[in-house]
Amino acid sequence: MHARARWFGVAAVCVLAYPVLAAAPQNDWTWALPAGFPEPKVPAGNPMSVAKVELGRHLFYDARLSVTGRFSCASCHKQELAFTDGLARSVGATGELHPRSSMSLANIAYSPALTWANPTQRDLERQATVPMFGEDPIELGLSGRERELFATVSADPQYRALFARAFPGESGVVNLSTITRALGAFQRSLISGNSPYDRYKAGARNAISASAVRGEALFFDEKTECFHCHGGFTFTGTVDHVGKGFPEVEFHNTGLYNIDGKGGYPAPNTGVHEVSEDPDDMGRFKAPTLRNIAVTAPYMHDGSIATLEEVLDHYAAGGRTVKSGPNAGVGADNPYKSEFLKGFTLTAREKSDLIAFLRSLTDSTFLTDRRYANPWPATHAARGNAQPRGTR
Amino acid sequence: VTLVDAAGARVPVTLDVTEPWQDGQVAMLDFEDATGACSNGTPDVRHQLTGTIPEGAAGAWQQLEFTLGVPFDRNHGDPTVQPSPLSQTRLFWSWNAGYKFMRVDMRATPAGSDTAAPKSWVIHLGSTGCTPSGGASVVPTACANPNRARIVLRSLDPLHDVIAVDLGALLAESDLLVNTEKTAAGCMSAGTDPDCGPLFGSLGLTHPSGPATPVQKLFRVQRRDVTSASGSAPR
Repeated sequence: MHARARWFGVAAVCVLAYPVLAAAPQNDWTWALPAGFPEPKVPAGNPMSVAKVELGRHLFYDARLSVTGRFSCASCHKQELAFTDGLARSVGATGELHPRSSMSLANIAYSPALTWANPTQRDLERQATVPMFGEDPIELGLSGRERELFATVSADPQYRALFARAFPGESGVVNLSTITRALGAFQRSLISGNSPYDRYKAGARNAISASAVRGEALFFDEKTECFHCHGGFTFTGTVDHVGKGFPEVEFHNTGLYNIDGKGGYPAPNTGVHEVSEDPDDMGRFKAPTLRNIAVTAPYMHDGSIATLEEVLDHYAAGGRTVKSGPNAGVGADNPYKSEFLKGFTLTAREKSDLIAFLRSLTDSTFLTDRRYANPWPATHAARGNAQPRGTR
Repeated sequence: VTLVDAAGARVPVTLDVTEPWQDGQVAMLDFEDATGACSNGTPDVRHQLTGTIPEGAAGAWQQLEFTLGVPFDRNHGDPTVQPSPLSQTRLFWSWNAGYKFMRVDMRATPAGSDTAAPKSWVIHLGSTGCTPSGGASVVPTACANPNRARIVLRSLDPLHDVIAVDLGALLAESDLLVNTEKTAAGCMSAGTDPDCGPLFGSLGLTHPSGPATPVQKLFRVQRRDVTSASGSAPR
């Protein structure tokens, strides 16, 4: 009887406490989604809120989140380039060359697999620990510096207000969980669906050129097979959203390399194989979104193709032949190559039509939307203008 | 951590909760003190595990066992919320969705040379080949190579012995001036990296480039030296 009485006591406390927690302004987020875009899936532990997205934006652009104080997430993910960096391979805070090219963050909320070829990276919160703390390669270079990071963030009066509003139920605490949840919320807010092609699909028949219309037909044709890996509203086969039932995660070998005649890709960029160590995963990479593709050159996981025209040449050939050097080989003969890389021929006009279609996927409002821009004043230390630590 | 008495009875050791070193399940040992090649390290060091055994269990111990590694669920738990030592970002191994079980960062120069530029040679031990089997799974459901080393130390006298961590024995068959081309500098646990073979062998782990019957050599029992403070058995 005594134990039962105590249980009632606990229940009463919970009932009393609940309205206090529920009063926090947490459910104020509304998705302003383009036509045809379903609602993104959001982790149960990180519901969207206006304040959290705003905090995440400040963190995303804060150069103090790096070992040098001069480098931020935005250093490799620039808004005007659809959150890529224009480099073949990215360069980290300490100058280390990354093996791979920066990926666009447009519509990342719909991607159930993150980065180029890592099936273990499924949510943005945990993925953030890779660029923050990774050492091979060094990106932001914060490994072993979490205490300094929390101290810097906690000491900023603006962050005190931002964290308090974003995490009222946790007293605005600054820790790795709140930092990564805010970064995740901001990245999920990066929705791109207002390209000329979207306006065309919505009924504005003159939003894209006649050439782009012909290119659209080619893109969705079995001749080119483009849409098999770049299908759907995100133009990538790796997609998930509310109501979908289950996520789809696809990795493809597109015959870019064949360095040993047995399908080998040059290390360390062996694709999913690098993580799984399964020989069948050699050269398998995620198909990136084609939204804003005209502004995200150079292309492929290692930036090894400079232009969209050359990308089409690669697919038309059913794989790339590297004639000389350490990566020489006939990619078209790669035994792990996707069944959709069967090659095709295009006339000059068809090629320019396809390019016109791809260019119609550029959403200029996304590239300039002030909600996604750097919120820090030009002279603020978060801009990374300060001298590097340890020097004068 | 488990103690085995003379009759073969196994007695689990309950690890203390001692921030930041132990959380009751996982313990961290720390031998670098931010000097030398470890200038990015921390001055704090930790040379011991502490824990308890049930009252009355004290007896004639013959064997001590422990696992060098992080239990599967904890290894793939959320690193943004786990308590220390699993909040230590130096041990994050996020691209492999887990933690480094052991990290040894070294720089090597040829013997007798004062001028040669030191070469980096690091050991990052952890589970590899970890992939989700279900589409919706956030955490890996299996690792092809768990790489958790079960260490069994026999002929242990807890009152008079200590456990030595012998880096020289671990590296005895490795040439730190040589790194296989197009692999990590040293060994980052890749099955495709031949530099890992002898190291894994000396940890008692199998590896495609390692010995067929690996025998761990990193940990050994030695008589307590009155001047030594390099470790102690669980009390």
